[in-house]
Amino acid sequence: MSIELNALGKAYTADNWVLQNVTAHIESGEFFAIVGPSGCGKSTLLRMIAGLIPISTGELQIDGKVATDLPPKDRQLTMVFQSYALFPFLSVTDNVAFGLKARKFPAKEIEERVTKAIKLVNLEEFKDRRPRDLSGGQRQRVALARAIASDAKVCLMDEPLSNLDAQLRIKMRTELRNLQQELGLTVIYVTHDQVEAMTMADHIMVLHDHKIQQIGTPLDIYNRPANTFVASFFGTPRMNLLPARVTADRELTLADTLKLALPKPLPVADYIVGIRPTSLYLLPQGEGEPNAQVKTVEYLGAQILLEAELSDGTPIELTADPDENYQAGDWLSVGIDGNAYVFDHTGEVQFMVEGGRQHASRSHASAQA
Amino acid sequence: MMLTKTHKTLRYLVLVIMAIIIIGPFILGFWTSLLPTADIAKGTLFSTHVSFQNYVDAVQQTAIMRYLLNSFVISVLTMAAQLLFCSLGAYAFVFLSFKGRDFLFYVILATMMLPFEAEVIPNFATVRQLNLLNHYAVMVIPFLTSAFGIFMLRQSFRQIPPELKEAADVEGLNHWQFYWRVTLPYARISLFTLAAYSFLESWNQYLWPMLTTFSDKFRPVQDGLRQLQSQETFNNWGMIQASAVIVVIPTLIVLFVGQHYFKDGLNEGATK
Repeated sequence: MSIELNALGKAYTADNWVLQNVTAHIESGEFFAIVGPSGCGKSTLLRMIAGLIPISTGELQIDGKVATDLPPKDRQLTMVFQSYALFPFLSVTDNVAFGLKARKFPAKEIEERVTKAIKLVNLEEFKDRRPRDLSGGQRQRVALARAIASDAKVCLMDEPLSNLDAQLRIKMRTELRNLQQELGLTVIYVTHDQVEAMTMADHIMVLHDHKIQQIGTPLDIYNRPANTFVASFFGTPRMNLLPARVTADRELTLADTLKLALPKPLPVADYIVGIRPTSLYLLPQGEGEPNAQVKTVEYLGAQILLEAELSDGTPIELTADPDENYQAGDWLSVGIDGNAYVFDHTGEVQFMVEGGRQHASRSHASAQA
Repeated sequence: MMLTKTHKTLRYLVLVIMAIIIIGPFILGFWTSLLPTADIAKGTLFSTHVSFQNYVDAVQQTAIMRYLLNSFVISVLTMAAQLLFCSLGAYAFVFLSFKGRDFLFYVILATMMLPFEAEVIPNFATVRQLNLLNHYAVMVIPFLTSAFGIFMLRQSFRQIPPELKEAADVEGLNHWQFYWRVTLPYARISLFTLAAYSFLESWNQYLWPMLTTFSDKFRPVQDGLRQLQSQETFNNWGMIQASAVIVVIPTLIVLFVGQHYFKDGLNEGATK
């Protein structure tokens, strides 16, 4: 079942828009993530799709039919909540069967569906327990089973993994994704965690400041960010955003320190250039002209993260080989060797400068994280 | 903090003394219910004539069983009505939104500030007008609901996580279904508490039934006990004590059974 959001908007009081002009198309069987920082309206949007919050403007279509004003139960969807929303006085089995009983399914079918759903989430030996006797991960599985048992083909998930510990969250990500594929569910998944969205989703909608910032595949979002917000929200470590100005016909100078050759001339104005730490290289110590000073060194295992300052004082994050021995206070020589994104002063992307070391030809394989 | 031995002994000493002060009269009452009235009158508390004869007499010679039945009928009806109407009222104040909802709630709260004694005269006039005097109805109808019950259940219903309501909405439960299948089971501890409270409150009513009942057919126990004393010029204290013990038994049962349900943590696991 496909879902069509057509210029949806929500205002609780006149002209105080929580969400504005949200338009998207969600394919049947797709894993669609809605990502954004706290308070960006992503949970509101999910509840508008569910019918729990009335839609102020625009149109919602589910499976080709207008559903803008349908009550939640007629929208043929299920919902998994961040806090699980289990009924504490019911056993696992009864929790899973709750919706089916409410919808008056025949007893035999309820039993079949419930047994199958509990089996899918591996909770067979816990089926007679109460939620209070289960761990957080198991409770989360009960909530999932409840969604699976329903005959609805659309499942809305509101940060379902954010109450789990880090290890379990990573494990559940894979399980959730596998289940979704196996059952052919259309999932709309709200999260504030960009890694979760990147690893699980087919398409991502980035919400910020009550508006859609970008919709695209995880690769699109990562490699072709539409603006500085998306650019800095996705990817760890974060993309460096450096102030830039035009210093020659086809040249930008970033933070008065780094030079970036442009494929085409730009009108004279202020720009912002985004470069991921992985698209910057460091010359071996002692070589080249030093242009950045290390402030802190963080060991991440496979690489080290350096927080440094360019010679004009602009902070910049760099990654380096863990074998190198960097100390705070060291002077480095930094150069650009991957993709760089040129944004105008409002943050909208202008174009991307394909990577490659300026004075040596190297592929920009490092741009793929 | 570890208590020193002297500290501990002192604490227990105080507790034991307080326990004796509180339980003493009950034990005395129970003991005298086993003694013949002649011994009680003489003041020989340590009599050896211990028997259950007073109980037999109470059951055979007085209307105590009828009083018990009356009280039981009245208390059960009051309790059932309060559970139903208070929970419905509280549900409306929590889950329905309508104009003047909060104002109405405060009006209900305000009625708690009037002592019952202040309402006795207008209430009496009303029930007399309605021709309800000397009937079970007169002891049940004025107590069908209570502001305290609505207040208590409203607090309890407000603890229900909003996600449960949302989950129920997605599954298409209407208000009646949500009330019956989620709200009541979720708040069952509060419901048990209210049940015990309203049962005991009704069981221990004295002033109102004294004013509105005139015959043993409808008189509840507390007034019945009083009746036993004034009927005869010579009070059969042993029998009266035996009746009093009989009257206390249901109270003890309610508290004892109720205590089992007043456990914490029954609602854990609904949400993280």
